[in-house]
Amino acid sequence: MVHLPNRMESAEMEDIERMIRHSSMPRESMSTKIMNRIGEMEMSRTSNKASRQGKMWKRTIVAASAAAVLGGGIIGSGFVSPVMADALKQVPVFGTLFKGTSEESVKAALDQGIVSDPNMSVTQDGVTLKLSDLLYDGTRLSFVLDREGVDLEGTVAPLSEREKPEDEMPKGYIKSAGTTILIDGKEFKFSEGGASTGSFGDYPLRDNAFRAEWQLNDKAAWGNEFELTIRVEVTGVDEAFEFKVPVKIENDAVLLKPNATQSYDGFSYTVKQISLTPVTTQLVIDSTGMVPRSAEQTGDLIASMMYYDIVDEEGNLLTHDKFGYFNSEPKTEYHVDQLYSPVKGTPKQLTIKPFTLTVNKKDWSVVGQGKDSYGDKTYIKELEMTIPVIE
Amino acid sequence: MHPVIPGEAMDKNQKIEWLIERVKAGDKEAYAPIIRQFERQMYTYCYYILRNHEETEDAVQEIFIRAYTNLHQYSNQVSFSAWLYKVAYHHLINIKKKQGRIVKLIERCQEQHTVQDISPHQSAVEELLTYLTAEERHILLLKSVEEYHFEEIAEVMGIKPATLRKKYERIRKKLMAKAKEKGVLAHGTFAESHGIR
Repeated sequence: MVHLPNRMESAEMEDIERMIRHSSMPRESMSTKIMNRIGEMEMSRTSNKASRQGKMWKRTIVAASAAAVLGGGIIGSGFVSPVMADALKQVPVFGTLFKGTSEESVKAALDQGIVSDPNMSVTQDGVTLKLSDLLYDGTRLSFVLDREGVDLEGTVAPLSEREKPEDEMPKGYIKSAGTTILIDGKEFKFSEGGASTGSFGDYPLRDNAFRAEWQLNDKAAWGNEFELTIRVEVTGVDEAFEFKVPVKIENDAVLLKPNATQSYDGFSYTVKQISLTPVTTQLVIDSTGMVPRSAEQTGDLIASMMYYDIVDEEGNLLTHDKFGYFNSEPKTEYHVDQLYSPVKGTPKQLTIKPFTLTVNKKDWSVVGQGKDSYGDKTYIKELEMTIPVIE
Repeated sequence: MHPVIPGEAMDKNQKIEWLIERVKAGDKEAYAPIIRQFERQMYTYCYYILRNHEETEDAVQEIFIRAYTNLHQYSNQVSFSAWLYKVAYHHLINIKKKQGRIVKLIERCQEQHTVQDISPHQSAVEELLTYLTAEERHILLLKSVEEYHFEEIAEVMGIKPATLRKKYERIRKKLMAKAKEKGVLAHGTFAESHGIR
């Protein structure tokens, strides 16, 4: 027989539940810590690499050389097969381009050898990896690997699988930490500089596809021409997959070093560098001082760190490649190295429009953040800066 | 109880869904507001299962990372909240299983573990929870921290809602008996206090 609770008893249960819900666990938000761990996880784990290195050399490396596999166009040659040109008309198909990239930009990128479809594949032990969508423009290197012959959701092992010893893991996961690149035969290491961030993971718009991207902060480290080796490890497959691709780009990027400073209300920023390539706009800024607050940004509502929009003379706003939110009060010093969608053609001038978001200090929610908005932007007109683009 | 305004609830869920889409599309940073949305309640849930702040902190981090790496498996057939707590539930069960293997020694240490900054609520809750089985604790905590209905708890724990209802009834009886016996609970004793973040 089920005993029916009287009103008093259910009110008491509610009390207990409320007590549990409200038993305060006074501690700071862990989101930064977690996000850092996710970042570390996705980046090549340099610390683990040393131990893996020895093992790596013992493995036979089956390599696909570009000459053997390539049917048509080689990158840098300026030749585009009709098939590829067709494919590129549907810009979103090309997985390494930023949203907002025009067809005109893609054509320029093809002409300059910046984007290419190496169409190379390596098969080992029933697993095939195909290299496509290769992009290098001096600000970043990215590519997509399509996986075949594996029936697994996701190209990267979920964390639950990663805890297992390797021989118990299902065959066919791409190991993020086992993805390395070699520039002219020399292994690239984050610790040695040249790239600020690396991101690896499932390419969301295509099944069974893995995307990797390295953001460079020193183009000089790699130059305009090198032999790129991509080495990928896959769970359950002894040999590493290796792709060798010659990379050659025309140095047509516009590089500006305005070193111009704008100050207002105790805040000051200097535009150190702007790079314009057919597929990327890179903005490097150093800032000091507290961000100015608007009249609405009082009490629990505070101004976020400073963000920077870029607008060309026709008022076209470039798209931010990544947009970071932070659950902390803004710091007083920042080094910003941010990528945006490319500019259309060669603009005469670009305007930098600094803005803040309004953040609620209580829960770090952003006012106005929604499906189509990063949040309500408060532009600080006094900090705007127009930079002439001289070819 | 929090007042439930349908419009508001919709907006919150929509915001989460929107953020998830962005994470799936490669915008990693969009995951941070998702963490902030759930971490406090998640902490409470994990803490009352693990009863150790250090382990709880590890577990919460692990759960959010696990959810992140498995996000591609999430489809909005269920609420993200229920999906996230399902990840948490299984993670906690696994931790407990591992602990079980290292016999009772650790458990005894945990009981003696001095917890700093105990709120009066916390110690009362901890005492009440000692009268419940592991499964009962999960049911009560899930019902409490996220104010879940039995259908949602059913989704998380993989138990039928009707069965949960019966189990919840047993929990209620147990706790009422204990509370009366101990005099820990008299209706109205617990003034509402909001957690500090």
